[in-house]
Amino acid sequence: MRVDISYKFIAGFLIVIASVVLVNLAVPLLGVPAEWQQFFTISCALLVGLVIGGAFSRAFAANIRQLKAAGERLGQGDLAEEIVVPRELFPDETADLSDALKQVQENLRQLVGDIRTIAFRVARSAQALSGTSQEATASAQDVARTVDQISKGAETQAEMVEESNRLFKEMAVSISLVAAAAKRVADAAEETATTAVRGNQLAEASKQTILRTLSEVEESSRQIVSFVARVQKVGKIVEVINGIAHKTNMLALNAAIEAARAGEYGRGFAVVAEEVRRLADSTTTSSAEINTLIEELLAEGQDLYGSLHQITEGMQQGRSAAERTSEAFADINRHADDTRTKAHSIAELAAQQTSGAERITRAIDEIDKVVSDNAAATEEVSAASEQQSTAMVELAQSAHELSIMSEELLAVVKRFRLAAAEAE
Amino acid sequence: MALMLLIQLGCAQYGVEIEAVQEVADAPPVYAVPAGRGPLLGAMNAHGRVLAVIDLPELLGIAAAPPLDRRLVLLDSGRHGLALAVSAVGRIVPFASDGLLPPPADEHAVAVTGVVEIDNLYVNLLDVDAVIERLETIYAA
Repeated sequence: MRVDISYKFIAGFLIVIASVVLVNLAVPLLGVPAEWQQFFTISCALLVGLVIGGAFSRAFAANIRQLKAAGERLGQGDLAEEIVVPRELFPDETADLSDALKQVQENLRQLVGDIRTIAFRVARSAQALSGTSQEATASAQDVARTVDQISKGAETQAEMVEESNRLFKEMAVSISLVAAAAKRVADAAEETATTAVRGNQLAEASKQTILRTLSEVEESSRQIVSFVARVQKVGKIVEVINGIAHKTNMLALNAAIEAARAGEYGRGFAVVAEEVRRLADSTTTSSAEINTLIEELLAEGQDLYGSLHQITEGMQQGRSAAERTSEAFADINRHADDTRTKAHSIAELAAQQTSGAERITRAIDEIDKVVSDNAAATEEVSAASEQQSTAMVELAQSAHELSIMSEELLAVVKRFRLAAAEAE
Repeated sequence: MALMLLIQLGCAQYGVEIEAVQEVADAPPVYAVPAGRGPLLGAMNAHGRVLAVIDLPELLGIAAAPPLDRRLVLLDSGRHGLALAVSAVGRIVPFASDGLLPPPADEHAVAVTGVVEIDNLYVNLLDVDAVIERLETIYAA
C-alpha cells in the first residue's frame, strides 16, 4: 500500500506525540515523588520523542541517500551500476523517484550507445567520403587534363578548318580557271573542227585535181607509147632500107669486081657500079643518121615515158596522200568534236564543282563556327572541371573535418560507462 | 692503072689485086670442118663449089685482130678456091702497079708484095701466092 511521505511524517509525529502523552500518563503510576514527577515526566517525554523521532527520520532518509548516490553516479557518467532501492512495505515518492532515475539511466544508455554507433558510422562514412573525394579529385584532374587536350585539339581543329577553308577557296579559283580553260579549249576545238572541214574540202578538191591531171598524164603516156611505137616502126623501115643499101653495096662491089675482070669492056660498067655503090653508101649513111635520130627519139620517148610514169606514180602517191589527208582531216574533225564535247562537259563539271566548292566553303565556315563554339565550351568545361576539382578538394577537407569531429564526438561519448566490462 | 680491093686485117690496111678476087659474098653459112684447126674456120658453098674459109689475120699472125667482117672475099677459082675472112672489106681503088714501094723489113708485114700510097694511106698489097704457100706449109703434114 502506497503512502505519501508527508503522511508518513504526519503519522510519525502523531506516534511521537502519543508516546509523550502515554509517558506523561504512566509516570504518576510509577510512584515517583511529586517534586520529581514534573521533571521525570519531561525527561521521559524528551527521551521517547528523541528515540522514536530519530528512528523515523533515519528510516525515511535512507532511500533518499541511495537516490542521491545514484544521482551523483549518473552525474559522473556511470551508467553501468544498477540503481537499487530496497522495497518497502509502504512505498513512497522515493520509489517513484528511483523508477524515474532508472528510466533516465536506461534512456541515457540507449542514447550514448546510439551516439557511439552513429559516430562510428559517421567516421567510417567520412573516411569513405574522403577516399571517394580523393578519387573524385583525381578523376576531376583527369577530366581537366583531357579537357585541356580537347582544348588543344580544338585549336588544331580550328587551324585545320581554316587551312581547309583556304585550300577550298584556292581550289574554287583553280576550278574556275579550269572552267575558263575548258571553254577556251572548246572554242579552239570548234575552230579546229571548222578548219578541218575546210581542209577536208581542200584535200578533196586537190584529190579531184590530181585525178584529172592523172588521167591527162595517162593520156599523154598513151600518146607517147603510140609515138614510140610509130618511131620504132620507122626504125624497122629504116632497117629494111639499110638492108637494101647493104645489098646494093654488095651488088655494086661485085659488079665493080666483074667489071674489072672484064677489063676494057667493063670500064663503063665499073663507073655505073661505083655510082651505085656511092648511092648505097649515102643511103647507108642517111639511114644511119635516121637510126641515130630514131634512137635519140626513142631514148627521149623512154625518158619522157619514164618521167610520165614517175609523174603518174607521184600523182598516185599525191592522190593517196590527199585521200589520207582528207581522212586525217575527217579524223581531226571527229577528234575536235570529241574534244569540244569533252571540254563542254569539263566546263559543266567545273561549274558544278564551283558551286560544290562554294557549298563546301560555307559548310566549312559553319564547321569553323562550331569549332569555335566547341573551343569556348571546352574552356567552360575546363573551368567547370577546375571548380569541380577545387570543390572536391574542399569536400575532402570537409570529410576530414567530419572524421575529426566524429572522433571528438566519440571521445566525448567515451565519458559514459555503459557496462562493467567497459570500466577499463 | 690496076684496081685493088681494100681489106683490113686487124689494124693493118691491105689490098688484094682485083684480078685475084672472084667476088665478095655476104655472110654465107660456114660449115665447121671435122678436125679443123688453126686458121681454117670451115667450108662454104659458093655457086656449087666448096671453098675453104680461112681466118686471114690469124694465118698471117696479125695480133689483136678485131671481130671479123661477115662478108668474105672469095678468091679467083684459079687460086685453089679460098674464101678469106677479113676484119673489114673496103672499096675498090685504082693504083699504079709500077709505083709500088718495097715491103718494109718488118715481121708485121707478112705476105706483102709491096706498099702503095692511096689517099695518104699506106696499103700493103697482099701476096696471094705467099698466103697459099703458108697454108700449104701448115696443112701439108
